[in-house]
Amino acid sequence: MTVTAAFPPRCRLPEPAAAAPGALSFEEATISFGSHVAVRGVTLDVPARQVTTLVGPSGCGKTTLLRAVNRLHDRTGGQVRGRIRLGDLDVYGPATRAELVRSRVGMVFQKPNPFPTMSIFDNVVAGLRFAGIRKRALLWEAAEVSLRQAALWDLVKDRLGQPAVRLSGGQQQRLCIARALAVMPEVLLMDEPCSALDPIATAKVERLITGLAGQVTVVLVTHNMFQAARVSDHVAVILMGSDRVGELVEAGPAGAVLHAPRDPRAEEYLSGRVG
Amino acid sequence: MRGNVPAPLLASRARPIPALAAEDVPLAPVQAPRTGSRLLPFFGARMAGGAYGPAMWLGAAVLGAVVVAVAVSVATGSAEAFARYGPSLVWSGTYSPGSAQFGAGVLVVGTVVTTGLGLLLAAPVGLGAAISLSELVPPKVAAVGSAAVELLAAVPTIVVGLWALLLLSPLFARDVEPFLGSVPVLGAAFRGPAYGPSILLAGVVLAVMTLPTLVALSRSALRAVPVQDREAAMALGATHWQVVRTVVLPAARPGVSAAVTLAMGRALGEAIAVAMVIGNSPLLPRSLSAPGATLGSAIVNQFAEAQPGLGVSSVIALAAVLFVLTVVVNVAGQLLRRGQRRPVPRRRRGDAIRPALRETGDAEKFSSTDALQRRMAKGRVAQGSCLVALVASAVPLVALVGYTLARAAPALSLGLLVHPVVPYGVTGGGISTAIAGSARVLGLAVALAVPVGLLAALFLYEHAGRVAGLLRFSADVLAGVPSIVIGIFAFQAVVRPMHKPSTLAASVALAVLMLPIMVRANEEALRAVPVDLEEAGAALGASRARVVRSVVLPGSLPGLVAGNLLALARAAGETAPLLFTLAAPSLAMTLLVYTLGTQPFPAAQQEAWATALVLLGTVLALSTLARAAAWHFTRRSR
Repeated sequence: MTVTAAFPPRCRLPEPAAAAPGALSFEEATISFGSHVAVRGVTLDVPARQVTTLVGPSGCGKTTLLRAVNRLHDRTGGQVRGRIRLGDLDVYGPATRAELVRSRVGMVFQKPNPFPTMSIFDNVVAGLRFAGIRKRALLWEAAEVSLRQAALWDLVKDRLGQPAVRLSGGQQQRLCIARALAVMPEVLLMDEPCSALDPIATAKVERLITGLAGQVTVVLVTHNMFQAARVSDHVAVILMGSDRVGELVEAGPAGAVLHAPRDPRAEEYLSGRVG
Repeated sequence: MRGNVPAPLLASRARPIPALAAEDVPLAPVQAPRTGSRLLPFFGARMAGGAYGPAMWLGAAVLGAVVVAVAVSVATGSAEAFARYGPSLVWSGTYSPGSAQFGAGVLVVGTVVTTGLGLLLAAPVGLGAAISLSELVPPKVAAVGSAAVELLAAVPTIVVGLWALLLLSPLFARDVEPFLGSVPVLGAAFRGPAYGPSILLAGVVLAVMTLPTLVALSRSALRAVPVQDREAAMALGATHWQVVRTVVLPAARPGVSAAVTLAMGRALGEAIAVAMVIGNSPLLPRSLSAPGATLGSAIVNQFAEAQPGLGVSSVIALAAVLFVLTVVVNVAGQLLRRGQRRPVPRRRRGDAIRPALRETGDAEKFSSTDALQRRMAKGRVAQGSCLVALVASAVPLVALVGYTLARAAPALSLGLLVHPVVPYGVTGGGISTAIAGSARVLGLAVALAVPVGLLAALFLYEHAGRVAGLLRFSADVLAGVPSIVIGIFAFQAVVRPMHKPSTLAASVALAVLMLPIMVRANEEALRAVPVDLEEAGAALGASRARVVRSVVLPGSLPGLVAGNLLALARAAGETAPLLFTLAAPSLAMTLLVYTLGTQPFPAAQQEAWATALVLLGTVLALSTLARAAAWHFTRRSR
């Protein structure tokens, strides 16, 4: 495969919604670590309050791209060029504070990571406390609403003071989702949230994800094509070129991309011939 | 994958077993199925598997027995004194060794006050410096600083004592104490004539002495907090300082308080360095700049002149009081270390009925730059204090090493290193006897302690439940037992039965001293190996012993080496236990520094500096080498 001068193609999703709150867009985003370029020239509009899934083989830079949105590369020496916009906010703008970006963007990690020293309650309201919210009524409200959203409330409402690490893996992951939702983010980033979970827990999380569409913009990274098909409104395919740099090759409505990809490389990958 | 199954595995099913196929052939001895793994097919793997369990139990049993033996020896040794003076010995204020009156009250006060002062100075500064090194400074600075504190943790306390006696003491008498006495309000604590040797100076010595250990251990506890926890907080919009305060510090708390407990144990029991600078007055001190005495310093001063029988028993009674004091403090520390979770705030009826966050305007806090600036300003104050603490902890340590170098370098010569120690006044002597003596004692102590330490740690690593809990608790108690008490134990357990001081007695003392530090450091290192890796080994069919040997031990090697090294460093700098177990000061470098350094003759002091430098150099070179080895191993195993 050769990289032509015209590459990367400008991939536009239908119905660009740049002005809507919760809309996320990448413009020629390139992420590099030192001299190593991990992801190059991604241009993508993520529509507000829908589920957009990034698929692609291991190591193609899906997670790297996701972590660029809430500036988690800041402390690991990753450099982001191009532009990432969150609503009307330029994520890497000179006057933009990473902390404020992150209060507007929730993230759920691959491995459930509730704070081990905190109770269930403290985990859920951690983000609010970081923001300086101390009012008891507000904390309780956020705890109950977000635990209900994560379908965990009935399970834990009588033991909110217990350590979060006593929950099962799937429950911990849902707790992490509740924790991310408690700050009412505009965008929820989910980095293979089900890869450490069993099928039943996975089904619960997937139901949650589809339920969240309409309230929050979800950007999901997954390896699992079936999962992508089950939960996504939109799918973006990221593949590695011959120089092992991740590039966006196709994006669009889930059905169209997964069943009738236009790009030959995406077609090859999705039909299981590469990656 | 299917095509990759090794041929013999498939073939063995089909092939008939020869011994059964031919009827007239006598049955060959049936080979037992291999239960071990083929991960590393070298001889002896199965034997190690069989011996693994019992060996762990043996290590655990030895550790438990040592703890019991220390308590028993101190109890029996002090029985005579307690029988004569009764329990009031513990609190009675009169401490006059010549008379019939005898009590430890004044000494208990002196011990508690100097230790408290030392920790009050060292703990906040040490924690701040550890936070700086772990979380705040650039990686290169952190690497240099961390290496430096780990090396400085090896600085023998006797060197700190010598430095304080010969440099700080005159300085305190002339400038520091008069100045502190003149400060309004605070000055009330520093009234009275300034002698130099004082409670204050002892506290400073204890602070300087415990600082590197505090920083090194706290830093590694902080570093051990997983990245995923930090990122979870960052992703929620926490500022850098909020991540440190709400996630990193709570998770590192057990490690940090273990470091403080260790430091406290050292401070409570530090006898020699304190005896050099506290002034050794048996009177209740009226001010921090007055001379005083501690249990440890009194044991050092009284033991040599104690009459056999009641005299020795009375000194051991002081050790018993010190022992109980440290156990009480340790248990209290352990209870405090238990997690205190923030209680869930009580909920009022009516809370959480409607989405209130947006209505009250608090949602602003998530997007307002002003609110963030306020949060960050708080963080900057805290971060600034930590950086100040880093500088503050560097100053005395640099001064200590620098002054030792400056004083010792002119005194050091090749002749000094190769000639034996000669009586004072005879020229042409050296310190070779002391160097050889130290090497003998330490070598034997390492041989005794390292295997037990590793096995007992493996026991703790493998076993949960009451036995392991009790053993871990005993190790923590033993870690807090002052070295001078352990010296008394070796005196009771080895010197008395053998009727003479010996290298063995000294080695036993140092081995017991190192053991609990090694056990806990080893356990921590073992636990640092990810469970996933361990299970990956087990999943390949490896036996438990094999997993430990091929996965857990190599994975934790750097931690094991570093932990054992800290223990060795502590032992190498110990003087007090050798006082009771070696026949002459010329048989160990630390003893020689103490004996020469406390003499009022410049020539003797010169030689003390030179010996101190050799001691320092040896310890630092050893620990540098071991660190390099650990680093090399990690690289190779990747």
